[in-house]
Amino acid sequence: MPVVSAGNFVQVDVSVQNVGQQLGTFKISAVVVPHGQTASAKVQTFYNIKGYTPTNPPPAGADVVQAAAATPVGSTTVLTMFSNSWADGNPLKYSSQEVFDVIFTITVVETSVAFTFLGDSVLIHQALAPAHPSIVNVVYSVLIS
Amino acid sequence: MAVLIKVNNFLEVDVSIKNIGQQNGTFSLSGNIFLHNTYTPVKQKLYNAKGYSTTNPPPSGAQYTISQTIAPNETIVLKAYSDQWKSYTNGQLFDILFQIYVLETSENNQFWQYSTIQFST
Repeated sequence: MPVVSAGNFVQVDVSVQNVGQQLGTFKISAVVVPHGQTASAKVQTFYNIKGYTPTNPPPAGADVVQAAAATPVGSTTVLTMFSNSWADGNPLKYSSQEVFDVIFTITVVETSVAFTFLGDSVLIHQALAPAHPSIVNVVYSVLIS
Repeated sequence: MAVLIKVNNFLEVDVSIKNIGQQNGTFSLSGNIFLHNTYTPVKQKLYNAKGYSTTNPPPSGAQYTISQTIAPNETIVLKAYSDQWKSYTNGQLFDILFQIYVLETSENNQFWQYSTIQFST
């Protein structure tokens, strides 16, 4: 399971096979959710290019990747997506070693039929050492009674 | 060089604590004061308010000074006060044992400072 550190990006290559009996054009979207939750709980989104961050937000429509051409029956097309900046660059946004699912939605352009696929426990947030104190200075003062 | 203290005075201690972990933490500071090079009994204690003495004993929990939530790499200052200083032999040195408890992990950390205080008549 890939471990993702804050500020990094996740690339996902999804190989989609046309198991129907007609040509089909596939488009895909994907979101990251805490393990066991539904798409409404999304915490990250995949986009058609790498590099989206809180200071470089994606434009509308960037969360969908469509195959350049229709996929022949029995053939496979690879769709590539990139997450936005993991945890928005903040390691504390998620718990240490928190596990995430990815929910893919593949829509067939010709029929508008959508299929959902679950990537169960496929990503894990970086491990964070617990809080630990260090005394860096002590100042003593005497208060006269 | 030791800080000189006289009978009936109070010691104020400002402890700067840095969170060197990678997660938020809440720290609870307590302190016990011993005669130099002895580890028992406790002669004086640190409290979260000034003014405690044999005639004005501290309430339960007063020996703990609790921080706000501290982010990684953040430093905070926790202030603590001794109870009213008792009478000792002139020149007596004292050691302080600080204990910092991490509420999130129940980890207890001990830090000694030796010969930091000296009684003066």
